[in-house]
Amino acid sequence: MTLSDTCCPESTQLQEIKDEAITYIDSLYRTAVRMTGNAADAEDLVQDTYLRAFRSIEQFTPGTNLRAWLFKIQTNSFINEYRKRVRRPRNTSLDDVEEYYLYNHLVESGVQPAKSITEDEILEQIDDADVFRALDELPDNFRQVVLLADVEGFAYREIADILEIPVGTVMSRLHRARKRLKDQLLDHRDQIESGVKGQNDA
Amino acid sequence: MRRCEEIAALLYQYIDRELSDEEYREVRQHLDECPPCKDVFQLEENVLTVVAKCCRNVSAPQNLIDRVRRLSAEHTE
Ligand SMILES: [Zn+2]
Repeated sequence: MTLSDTCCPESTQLQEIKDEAITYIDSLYRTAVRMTGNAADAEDLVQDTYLRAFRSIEQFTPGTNLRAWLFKIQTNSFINEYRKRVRRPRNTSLDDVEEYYLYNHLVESGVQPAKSITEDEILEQIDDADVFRALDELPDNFRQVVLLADVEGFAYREIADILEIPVGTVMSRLHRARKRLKDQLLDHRDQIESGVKGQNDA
Repeated sequence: MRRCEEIAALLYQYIDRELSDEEYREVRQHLDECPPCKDVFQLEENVLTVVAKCCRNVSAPQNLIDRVRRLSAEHTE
């Protein structure tokens, strides 16, 4: 298509960008739900994100990552507007999580390096509520990197741009958040197993 | 072959596809030859897959989508 094919190519292009932006609404919403902790605040946050995005749509560079651009707007909006309103107490660090590498941790604690557990076996014993609870217990800035990396599939570089932090910080937050998440979910699994065992013994 | 500790340090970059082709091959090869490391990696991947699937089940409510569509139309001049 050349410019002469249409009466107003600029507005057509802007409309196309907006239409594409709306296709990312599920991603933005599910992230917003996990960040705000409730559906009503999540809806407000997402609507606000689109309002800001549409108002400044001319600032978006076509050909660059529109989904990442929207996430950046939503993240800023969350930090500046919504975090203040959230009722539950929030800490911002995982200081109690030791920064050992997984292997060292396993060796030092004398734990058998992971019996292989299949995805189905994990799913059988952990439901959505367990996963959400474990995520909710992470401090905001750690939960954010897990959502962006593991749920939305952004690369380290993209996450660094969205959150305006160095790539090294993205990696260390991810490392610690995932370790915490895994410990919580598998602890939960162990509790269920020992619970079942206890019942059988009785 | 790289030592297990070195491979463990690359765990997340491997899962996240953030390694160079060369490093990726080295880790792949190690995992093929070292069942304990393979189990550690597999467990980690499985947990993250479960978390991702669970979160991706959530979609935006229709009334929100409708409101955003209206916003999009309003801001077209
Ligand atoms: Zn090994």
